[in-house]
Amino acid sequence: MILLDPERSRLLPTPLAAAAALLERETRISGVHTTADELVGCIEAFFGFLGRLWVAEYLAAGAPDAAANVQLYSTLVSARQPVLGGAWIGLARLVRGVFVDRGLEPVAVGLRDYDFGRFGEHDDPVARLSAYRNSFAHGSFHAVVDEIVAHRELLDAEIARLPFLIDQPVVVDTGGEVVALRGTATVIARPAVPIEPLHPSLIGPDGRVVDLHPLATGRDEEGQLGLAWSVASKKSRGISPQDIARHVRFAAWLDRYQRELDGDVEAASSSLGEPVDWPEAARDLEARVAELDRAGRCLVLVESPPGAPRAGLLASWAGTDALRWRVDPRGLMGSGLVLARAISRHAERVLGLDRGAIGANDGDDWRATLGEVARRCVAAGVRLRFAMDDLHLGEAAARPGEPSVHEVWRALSTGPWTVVGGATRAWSIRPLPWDARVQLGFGAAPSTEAIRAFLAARTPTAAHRGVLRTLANADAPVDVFDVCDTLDGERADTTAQPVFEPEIERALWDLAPVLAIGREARSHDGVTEPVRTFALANPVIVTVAREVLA
Amino acid sequence: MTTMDLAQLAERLPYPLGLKLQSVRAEARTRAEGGLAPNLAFTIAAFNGLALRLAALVLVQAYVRGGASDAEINRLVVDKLRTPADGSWREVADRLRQKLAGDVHGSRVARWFNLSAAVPPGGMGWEMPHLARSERVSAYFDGAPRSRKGAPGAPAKASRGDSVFGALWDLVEFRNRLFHGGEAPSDEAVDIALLRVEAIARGAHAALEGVELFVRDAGCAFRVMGHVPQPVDAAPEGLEDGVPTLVFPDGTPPLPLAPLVRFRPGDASLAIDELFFVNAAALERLHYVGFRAGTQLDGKDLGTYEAFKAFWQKLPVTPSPKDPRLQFDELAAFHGQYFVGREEVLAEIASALAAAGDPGRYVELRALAGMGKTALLAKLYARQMAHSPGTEGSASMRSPAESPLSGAWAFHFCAQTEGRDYALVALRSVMAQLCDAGGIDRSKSKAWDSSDLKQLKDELLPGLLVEVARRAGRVVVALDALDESTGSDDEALAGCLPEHLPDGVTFLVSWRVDADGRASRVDRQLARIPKDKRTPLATANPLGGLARDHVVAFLEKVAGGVVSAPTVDAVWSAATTDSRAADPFFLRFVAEGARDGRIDFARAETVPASLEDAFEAQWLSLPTDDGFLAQRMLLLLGILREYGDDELIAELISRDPQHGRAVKPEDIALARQKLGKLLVYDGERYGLFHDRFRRFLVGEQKDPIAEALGEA
Repeated sequence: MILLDPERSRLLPTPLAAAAALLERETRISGVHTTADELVGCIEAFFGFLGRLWVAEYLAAGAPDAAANVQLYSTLVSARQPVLGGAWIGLARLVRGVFVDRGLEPVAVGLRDYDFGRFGEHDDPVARLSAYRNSFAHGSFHAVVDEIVAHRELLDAEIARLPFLIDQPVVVDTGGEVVALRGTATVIARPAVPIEPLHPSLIGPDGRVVDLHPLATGRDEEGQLGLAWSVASKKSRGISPQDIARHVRFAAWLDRYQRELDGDVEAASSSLGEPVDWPEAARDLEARVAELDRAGRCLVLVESPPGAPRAGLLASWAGTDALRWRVDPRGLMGSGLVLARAISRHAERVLGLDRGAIGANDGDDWRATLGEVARRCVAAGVRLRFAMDDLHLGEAAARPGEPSVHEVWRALSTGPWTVVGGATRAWSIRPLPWDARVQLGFGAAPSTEAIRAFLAARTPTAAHRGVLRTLANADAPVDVFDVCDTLDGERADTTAQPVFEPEIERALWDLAPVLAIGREARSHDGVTEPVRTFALANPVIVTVAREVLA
Repeated sequence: MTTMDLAQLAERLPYPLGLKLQSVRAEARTRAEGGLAPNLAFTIAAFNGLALRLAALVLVQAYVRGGASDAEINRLVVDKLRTPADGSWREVADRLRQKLAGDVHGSRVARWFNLSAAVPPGGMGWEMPHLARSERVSAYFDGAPRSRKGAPGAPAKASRGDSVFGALWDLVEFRNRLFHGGEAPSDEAVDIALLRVEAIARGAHAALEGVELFVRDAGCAFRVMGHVPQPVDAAPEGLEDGVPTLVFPDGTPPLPLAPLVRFRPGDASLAIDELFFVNAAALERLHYVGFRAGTQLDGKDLGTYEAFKAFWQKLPVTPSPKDPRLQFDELAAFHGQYFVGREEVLAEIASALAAAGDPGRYVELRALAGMGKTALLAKLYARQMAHSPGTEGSASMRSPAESPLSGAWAFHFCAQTEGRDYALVALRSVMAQLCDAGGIDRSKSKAWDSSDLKQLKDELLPGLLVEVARRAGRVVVALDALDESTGSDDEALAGCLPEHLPDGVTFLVSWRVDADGRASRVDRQLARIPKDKRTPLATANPLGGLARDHVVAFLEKVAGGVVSAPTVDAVWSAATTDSRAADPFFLRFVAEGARDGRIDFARAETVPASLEDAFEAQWLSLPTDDGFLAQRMLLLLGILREYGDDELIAELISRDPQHGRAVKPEDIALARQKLGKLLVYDGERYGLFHDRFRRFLVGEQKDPIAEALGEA
């Protein structure tokens, strides 16, 4: 067992070797039953090393993945607080995924083969060790000897799976000597490949080097040189993981990212796609815009079913001088805060101001920023134009404490601007506010791809598919009772759960964007009352629905 | 003294009491012969529990057949039957044996209880007198001082006197020590317990000699006595099919024991002929247990549920607030917050009440659901209470509209909370208010104090009205929502109102009517009041909606300032979809929406197009997790008569095949948090916030009260 064998454990990287030494000593002197906390220390050292190593490997590989960069930034840089055990495992899992997907090979031999499992899985070794550590950390812990031994053996086995921990020591060039930063530091021959002085580095057999700076640093303790973790600090003193922001491979991405966070989202200008020719819709839109401009109102809501070339219509209207924006909850264009900043950047360009002139002192007070935009535009006699699509996706805030796109839309209801927002009709039961509304049909050539994507996304359950099937097969508009009766009749097994009417009703409303919804008096069970009726709104939808269901 | 041994005696007791006695006897014998009888103490406890249960059920049945007129006993019985234990049966039996001492059936049980439990001299006739010979045991029965080293697990002496009831009592204590005491009973304790068992058994035989339990079921007859029900060729005449009945030898009428006891002959699923006893009784939860094999059955499976519902209605339970005078300040504040308009109705009310010395009469306010009748009466309440004797405020500072009307006033607002839907609660509260207004010290004068509804409505209330009218010059009693009062025609509040009112007394009453202006129950209950004594308010027959300027005033109150014309238009349009006047309920909905941020007065398009649309938006916004649990809860509450609680809702949903899985009360509590203001609460119980929402959910339902009374 490595952990309890000083001859072997001292060959491990310093933090892990030190933790193992403590564990061995306490086991020997005080007994196994007292070593729960020392074992947890070993677990933290093990995963802390692997996590940091993976981040370093990722930076060495060029930080190629934007989504991973966002997570690294969020966890290591912007959070400005210590990264704890589980977070390193999460980062390691994330980064390893990038390496696996892109076929990249880390410098540490065998590191990629070490699987961290999936979040939520409870039986793999990583999950079990993590859970053991968490129990201790959160205070709900009873030091049962059997459990200590079992988890110690488990950890030992995991260490044994990674021979590079011993075979590829982290080294540092002190300027005079090159020292292997193990439990016991040893001077080694200068490697053939150059390494950055004073930066802890790991050298591969193929000559590649991974620099662990700024995740780790060399530290001299009582004359003994060892590997130590850099520590996140709010005061930014000393080296910290936040310093990856200055890492040459990360900094370029980070710079671009921060510009986008500040409102210069690269993808925004092309987000609406190419303009489309839709004369009737364009005329209707222009007429409404003109009405609002005369009345000093701002919000024009353009609603259409899925498949209509709404984005292209907005692109046509936007021309070359409007801010373009297409809401996407998966990225920065799903953030109301970023949208508010984008409006500031757009205003600066239109007004010929330096970048950052508007809102420099507002921080996250986006309302104040919009207020400043308004004041400057009024002073300059300028009326801005914004074209935003997929507003229906902007209900939720991207992050707690930030505004949603809907909140920003509402805040734009007054000001020296015209805002044309596109949304899928009947997407949500609660409508967006508007000053004028343009309700469009499908256009001359609805996009079957868009309709297909919509239907696939909006029929997640058997009830939804049953409803869609009923609608696709119906000759006339149906009401919710008709659909329930049809689906009840389809049940091959009468002992199966009968149809639940509210579930059917919800499925109908989820499909509302592609439905024609009416109201008429109908009789059911001898009772006549006005009910809503539903039908697929367009023959194209019927065709696509049948394809989706097939 | 009979020399019958316990085995013979067991055959003369009703099943399964005879069965249990046999078991006790057999185990006692084994013990006496030096064998092991580890379960003897438990079997003794089971015998006693069964004896108490049987006695209590007989007494309850006799009480119900006698009219069940005592509200306090009704409450006791209903409470204890929900989750009965030996102690509960004991308490019910004790209360009822005193109440029914003169009843033809109850007296038998009372006699049983009063028989001596003492071991006869020399133990003559008893099977286990040898047990009494031990020094400690005899000390127990003699009440002699005990030595310091008391027999563990045994009481110091017979605790309730030397009667059969005392024996039953002692054995409940024995059982409690057995189950909760943590120590096995001593030999002495078991000896004492065995003597008690024998006393109970012999007493039962003596008091109930000749009484037999029979049942007829689908053409077969059973004699349900001894250790097993036995088929017989002929049963006594007049037995109802499926109903276990005690048949008396001396011309005493038979006593059916259903639905508290049911018989079920053996079949494929149940191999034995078994008698089932109610084990937990409530409308939402009805369980039975058989004592031979411990089989448990649901009331619906046993086919007793409908009979049980009918039985339960014979035990009306009236809540009993500590202070009979209810307070309505919160209700008045709630309704007064955005009160607008209604000047003409208030003026007509004032005019109708103005003339002093008028013959007593009823002034009637009728309204469709949600039209604001409660808000109107709450306005009157606030006005009267703000200027009641002893409150601050200069008369000269009040506007005429705010001036109180003279006289002694009393109010009641019927609702399904705090028992306000019970006539007894309402009348007691009204009378307390009248006493206070008339300067009658309630603490000294109990003349108005009664739990008997008949006495209250026929004697005490009329007398109090005369007295207070004499003192104050005029009496006004305002009663809101007569339609929400529960009970049969002569128990609901409208049915308890005096036919003739003394001079100077006016009752201002309100109730909900349908679109045709009718409310069948209230109309019927008030029909006995002479027409010339009833004055429907012309401005509230039925009460209409609000005019546009009142809508504007309302919105400005909510907004705290001017509201834009488009928003006013939107609200007016939505509030007047069915008529030319604005629906006050919809306006209240708008006010709540504005407070919650769902409606923005600066954006007219956020105003729902109709109440139906508003309800639909809320309904469709509900989360759908856990199999649409939130929706199921609301639909259930839509059809329930009474408020529900988490346990009830969990049980009902778990039984629903549509849901497909069991849910726990904790699941319901979590789901309930997402329902927010769609629910209103009465302690831990809750219901839908308004009947309009109920109608949206489940449509028009039959009048539940009429249905419960068999009139729907």
